[in-house]
Amino acid sequence: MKLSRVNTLLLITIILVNGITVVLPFTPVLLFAAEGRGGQKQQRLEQAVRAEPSVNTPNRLIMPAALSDQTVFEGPNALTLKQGVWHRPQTSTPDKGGNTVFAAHRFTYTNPRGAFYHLDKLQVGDPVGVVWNGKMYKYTVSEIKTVGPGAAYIEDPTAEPRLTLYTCTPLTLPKDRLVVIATPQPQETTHE
Amino acid sequence: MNDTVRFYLLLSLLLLSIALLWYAVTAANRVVLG
Repeated sequence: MKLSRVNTLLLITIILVNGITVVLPFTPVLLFAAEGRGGQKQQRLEQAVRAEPSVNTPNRLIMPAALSDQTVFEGPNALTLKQGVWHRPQTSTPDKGGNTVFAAHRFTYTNPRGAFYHLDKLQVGDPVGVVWNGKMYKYTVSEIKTVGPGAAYIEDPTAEPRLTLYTCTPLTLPKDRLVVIATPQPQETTHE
Repeated sequence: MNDTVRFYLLLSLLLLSIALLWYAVTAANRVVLG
């Protein structure tokens, strides 16, 4: 093969490799735009939050406004983040009240592509559902804030039941933490 | 620039690109949340 042809192949390969590196982190944006906020998927997820799950449903986190329905994984260390949403050990669970904390990567090139990629799409007042041990716990987003990576207080136990979700922010330079706090919907409070 | 020089230049760029992609793929796993 002539060297000039090898050079052309090398150039194409370089463009492809760099294309993947640059474009892949932004593909969820395109998918989100295609599905659209307020579209069928969001309505289906909102319906799922309102419904009671079957007993065998695995623990899940449903965020209709972020078009997200993810399995929640348990694990002792950060390796669990490779699977998806991680229920932080030492924090509470929805059935016990207190502060239930879920963390996930914003974006990874390997699966899961972006468990909390669209966490920034949540707004105060949006519904969030957690299926825990076959029961649906309904929350409403009450606070959204950005804190530094050392802000461990976001995992502190609380007297009132709450759900704390956090991930890295901003997407391109993940130096801080995006924190979303949700409180139980009124009907849930009466059950606690 | 002759083809041989261009070949080594492109080969270096390809290796650099692969290293960058590898770094990007593994970087998230080095970040410890919270």
